[in-house]
Amino acid sequence: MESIVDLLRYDPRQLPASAETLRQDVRDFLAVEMKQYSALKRAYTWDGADQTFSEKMGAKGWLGMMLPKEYGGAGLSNLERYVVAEETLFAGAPVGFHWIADRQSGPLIARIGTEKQKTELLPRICRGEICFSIGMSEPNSGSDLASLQAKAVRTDEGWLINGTKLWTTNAHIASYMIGLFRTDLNAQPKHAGLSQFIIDLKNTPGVTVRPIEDLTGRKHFNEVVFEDALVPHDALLGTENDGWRQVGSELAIERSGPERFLSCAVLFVELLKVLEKGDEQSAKREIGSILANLVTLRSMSLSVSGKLAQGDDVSLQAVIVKDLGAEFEQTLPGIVQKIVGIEPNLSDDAEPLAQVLALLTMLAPSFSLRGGTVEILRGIIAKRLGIS
Amino acid sequence: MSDISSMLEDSVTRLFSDKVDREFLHEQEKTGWAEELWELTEELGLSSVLVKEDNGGVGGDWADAYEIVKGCGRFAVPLPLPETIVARWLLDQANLGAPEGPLTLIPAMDGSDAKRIPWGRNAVAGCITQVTASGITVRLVDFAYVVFANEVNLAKEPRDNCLTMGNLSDVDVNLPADASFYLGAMIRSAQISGIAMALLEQAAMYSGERSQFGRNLNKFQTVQHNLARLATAAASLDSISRFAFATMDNVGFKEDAKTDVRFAIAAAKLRTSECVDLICSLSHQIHGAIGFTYEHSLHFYSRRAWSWRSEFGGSSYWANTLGDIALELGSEKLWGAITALGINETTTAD
Repeated sequence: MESIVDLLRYDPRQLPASAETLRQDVRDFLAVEMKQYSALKRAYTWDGADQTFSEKMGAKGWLGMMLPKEYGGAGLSNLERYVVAEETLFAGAPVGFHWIADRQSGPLIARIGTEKQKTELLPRICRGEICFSIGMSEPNSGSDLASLQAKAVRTDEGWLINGTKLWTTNAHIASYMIGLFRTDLNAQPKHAGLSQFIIDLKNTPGVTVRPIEDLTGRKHFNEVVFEDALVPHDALLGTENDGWRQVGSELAIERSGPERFLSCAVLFVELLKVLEKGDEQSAKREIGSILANLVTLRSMSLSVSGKLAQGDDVSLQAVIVKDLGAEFEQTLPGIVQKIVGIEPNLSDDAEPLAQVLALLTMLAPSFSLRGGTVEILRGIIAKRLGIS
Repeated sequence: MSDISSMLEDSVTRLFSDKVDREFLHEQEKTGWAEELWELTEELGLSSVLVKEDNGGVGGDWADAYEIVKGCGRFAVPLPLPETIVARWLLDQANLGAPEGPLTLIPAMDGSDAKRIPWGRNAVAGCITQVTASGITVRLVDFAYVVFANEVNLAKEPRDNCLTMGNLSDVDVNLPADASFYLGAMIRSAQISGIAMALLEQAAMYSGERSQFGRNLNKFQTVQHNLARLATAAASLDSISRFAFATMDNVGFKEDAKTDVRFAIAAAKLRTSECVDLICSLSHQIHGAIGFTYEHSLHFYSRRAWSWRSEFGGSSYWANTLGDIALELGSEKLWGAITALGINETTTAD
């Protein structure tokens, strides 16, 4: 077994020069596109969805960049994708419509999908035409995901799906869900016997999507109920009963990306703008601390991206980035409160900083829930380091 | 990782894990100077890792040096090896031959007033970069006839004040005046990252041996989560310190502190200094009362961390410095500077 020292090693990664040329192109594009967005709109980052914006990104060739060229991708590494991701996030671009498809559904389909799935779906992902959602949690299976009950039963006509998925982000706007369902009811242990399916949410009878209002009053996650929903045999993604391992392979990129420490970037920028107009010296030390955290998290996240590009197993390193990133993001609204005496205020005529602060104060609890709760992550870290 | 890095990491780990154990540290803290250990590091050429091969050194880079300096933290090595590595590099930059024996960095010098010099009484000479009438120089102070008032830090490492001044040689160098101070901060960052790893290793071992309520401590979820937090902190400190050393290789010192290695060093020293409370308190908490005894070895690490975070600028100093950088760049340019950090404009990565 590798030593703790080796397991916790984050080799610095420089982006290739080509990535830096790309960065300038993305910045030029965003400088024009983002003019119409208020600070509050930008603060949503990957929680904000706008299909028109995603289609423009697609036209630029900036979606599905890691996918093979024959399916509309650019055949590049995740380092190029990293540049586009961090630039759009920092600018607060509304990337939600394509985010999940670009980050993980597309790469997953490219890796384990059938030829038909690749041909049908990947070019549309690259054009920003379709939004994906991920069906994992259920009413009685949250952190204990392996206990999930929704099932898919093979029949002559196809797979018959019954059960409920919960907290499914973007299911109300998504064309597809990649869902994890129980296909072998008797399998032991409980994480065996699960399979992934690509479900057409718009055209499958028996599928009901009910948006759930979150505490900000916005509807972005959903309850998705399956009642004798019949999907074709070829909706199966990858190998039957191998779903648990397949899901695990998606998580490293999901957990280590720049979205794990840039959710509050717009807040930081708005804070600087306010300080620039007045007494900035008083806040200097707090600003310095935030910056050191930001630079540290980016160095870790980039290091993981570099290892992913080499095909290394980075599941542990990714979990660590997510844990630290969430902690950092969650503390930022409180730090901003300490620096400027400003009341969070969502009303239209409030100052931009007050609006952004209001939104992120309320979104912050989700940072250590989405993508794996902090409790689950820390359990994984202890286990993987062999210290439990 | 270069072949040299990997080789150095192996030999450093082997040497220090073999020699620097609890008994050694207890003994050394009483007697003072570990001459035999110093000789062993010299046999491996560790202090000359950055000196060009033509000048009799190893010809390694800062990424290589990182492995040694971090090792000095991880094993609580009671030697000015990190300081000597930097001093030899500074002298090499000025094409000034380095004297034999341990060297040190002088944190600050005002006329002939120099205080809190690491290992002053044991070093043969000290180095500092500074502004003189003729420009920026590397100043080498011969300690042969210097009288020191002996002081120590919390780990009883010598931190001595000059009572008299020795012979000075000033040689022009193409570096900023604050280069030696920044490099001092950079080695302390790497040492603290090594300490974080040691605090984690010790806590992991102890919690796997100590049993309460009929099971080992590491079977309790609360303890597991504290170990995980300690591990994530150790990982982050390794990452940012390693990044600073890599930036020294890729960018080094240029005209502008906002865009050269100094940005990375400020971030590294601030993050490591800020994390000292967390890493020490978690490891001590996991150890319980035994870790609070002199008999146990935990304090060799925590006491060093508590002092090192203040040396070559503490969190207050570096938060101010980094805050200045952020505010000077402003909301328009800050992100550009962050993404450009560590990128060498003249060569392509990969």
